[in-house]
Amino acid sequence: MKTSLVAGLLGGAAILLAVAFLARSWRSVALVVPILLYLAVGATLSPPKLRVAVVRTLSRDRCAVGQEVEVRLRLMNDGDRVAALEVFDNLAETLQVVKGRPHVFVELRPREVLEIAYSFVPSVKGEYAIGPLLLRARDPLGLHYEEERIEVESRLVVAPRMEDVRKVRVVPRRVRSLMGQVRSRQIGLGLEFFSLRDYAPGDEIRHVNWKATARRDTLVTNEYEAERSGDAILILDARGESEVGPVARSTTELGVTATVSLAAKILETRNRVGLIVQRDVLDWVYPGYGRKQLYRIVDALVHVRAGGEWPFEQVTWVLARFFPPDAQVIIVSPLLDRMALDVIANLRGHGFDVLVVSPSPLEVERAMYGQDPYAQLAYRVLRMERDATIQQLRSYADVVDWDPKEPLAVALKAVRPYPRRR
Amino acid sequence: MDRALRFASVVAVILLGIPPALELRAVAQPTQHALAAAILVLAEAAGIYAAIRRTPLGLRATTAAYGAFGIGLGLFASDRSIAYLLAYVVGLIGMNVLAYHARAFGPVLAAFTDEDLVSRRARAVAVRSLAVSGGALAAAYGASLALLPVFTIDVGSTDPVVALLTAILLIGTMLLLALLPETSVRFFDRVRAHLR
Repeated sequence: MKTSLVAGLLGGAAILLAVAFLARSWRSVALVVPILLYLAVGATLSPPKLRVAVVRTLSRDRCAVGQEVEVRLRLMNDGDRVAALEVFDNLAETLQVVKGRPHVFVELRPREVLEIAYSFVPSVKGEYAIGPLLLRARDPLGLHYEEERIEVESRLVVAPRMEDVRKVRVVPRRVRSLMGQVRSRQIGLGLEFFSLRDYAPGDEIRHVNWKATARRDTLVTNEYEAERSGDAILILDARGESEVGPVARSTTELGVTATVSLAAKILETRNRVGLIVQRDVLDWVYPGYGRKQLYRIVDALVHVRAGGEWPFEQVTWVLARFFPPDAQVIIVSPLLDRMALDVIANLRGHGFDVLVVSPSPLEVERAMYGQDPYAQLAYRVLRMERDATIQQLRSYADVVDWDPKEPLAVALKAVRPYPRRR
Repeated sequence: MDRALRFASVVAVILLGIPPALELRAVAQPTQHALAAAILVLAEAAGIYAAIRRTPLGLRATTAAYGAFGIGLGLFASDRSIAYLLAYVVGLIGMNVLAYHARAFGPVLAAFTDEDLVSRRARAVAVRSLAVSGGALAAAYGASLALLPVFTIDVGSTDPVVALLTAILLIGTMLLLALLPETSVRFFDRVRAHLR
């Protein structure tokens, strides 16, 4: 194919010719000669038809946000020599190249095998398609090029970033009869001391408290606090109107991070965890145990993109009909509109114990606008408004106002381990 | 390398603006002179902007203005030598080729942050392309000078209608050449394969 330079040169030659013949000047015709000669030389140097086979390999097909992934492109030339081959591997904007380049110029000799390597770091979770690969052979004079689009696509699943919440105590506050690791404030099998009582026939000897027995001169047995498991349902507010900030640090992405971190933490202590995501559709994952359940939740969260205008009340309807009634409900929402507040009050009315984790949209926006005095004034006004909303909400639920500049664990330290009084 | 390419493009735009500026002395009428100077300054500014932004299409207006003043006035007002005018035409082609190369190679070369085999190869490809382009331009200039005697003969019809028809025919042929598939490449490929 010809570049626009050919058209430009031919246009110039045409104008010169027209002037020459209209003015009947042979000298003007002579000026066309270098243009035609340059085009003639260009025609002999035009690039050959591309016959390049490409294999792309990724160092991993699943990774987490912030993990480096190496891409290797292997180009095998089955055709003639290509003096200037432009190689462009199509990457999403959120995959930031950290080593090497996906866009290079190389020379390829016949039957040469060339390897190009580069690495990127994904900044946003999701399922990515890397490719197709664009090859463009250029002639050295800038007059012709041959282009080929090679449909080699590699898929990469990027799991959301997880916060370290190992030292935080977030557990379901109401338990079921099954064994677990949550202290139930009831006497039963467990490790934590609860109280003393008189020995009864059948009590295990190892549970006898010998010091108390010596003091009272009668056999006394230790009683322990039963450890049970509970249910937790995580609700992620990913509606379009709840998104604030740039994609990589938006309230939705922060919400996904908080949700997956909490899910991992709660599942770790042998509880069941379920998930509801309100986006352009309503997704849910039924409560379940263990590592497989964590993978199910991560898979559901990988595809979360803010969108949809469904009313948030749908969540209450789904929760009340399809999920266990005594579950601990954890709502992850930036609390940007009144609808979220109504839903929380409604859930409390249905008898659910509610914890709200709210990635602060104000802090996200503040980080975007810096030290602008007008932005600071607006921040102070909106801060007061948000504080008032959170204060109002605290009469129904525990609220964690998460400033994304701080680790989630710091914000979650404020959570009370026991249920609210009804 | 990217900066060097852009710098060279800007320098080419500035330097090639000098001959048309000198030709403006042939315009005696002050208003016409001022108007022509203003157009030339505007064209030069547009050219510098296009060179910095790596947009070869932006250079078209500059090339047209330079051609109109540099070649038009040189041919019909100042009566410059044909060798000088040929050099100027080659210069204008070079300016456009440089801008095209700056656009093609510039962003890729600018993105390389560390020195490795791939970056060195990319730079070598760019340098080789520039060298070949320079060589082709020099060859075009040399061959044009060699062909000059052909244009000194004074034969053929001087009828304006015949001249116009011949011009249309030649322009049509060139446009056809621009649109036709490149048969010449296949021919040279076959010759090369045969020689191998």
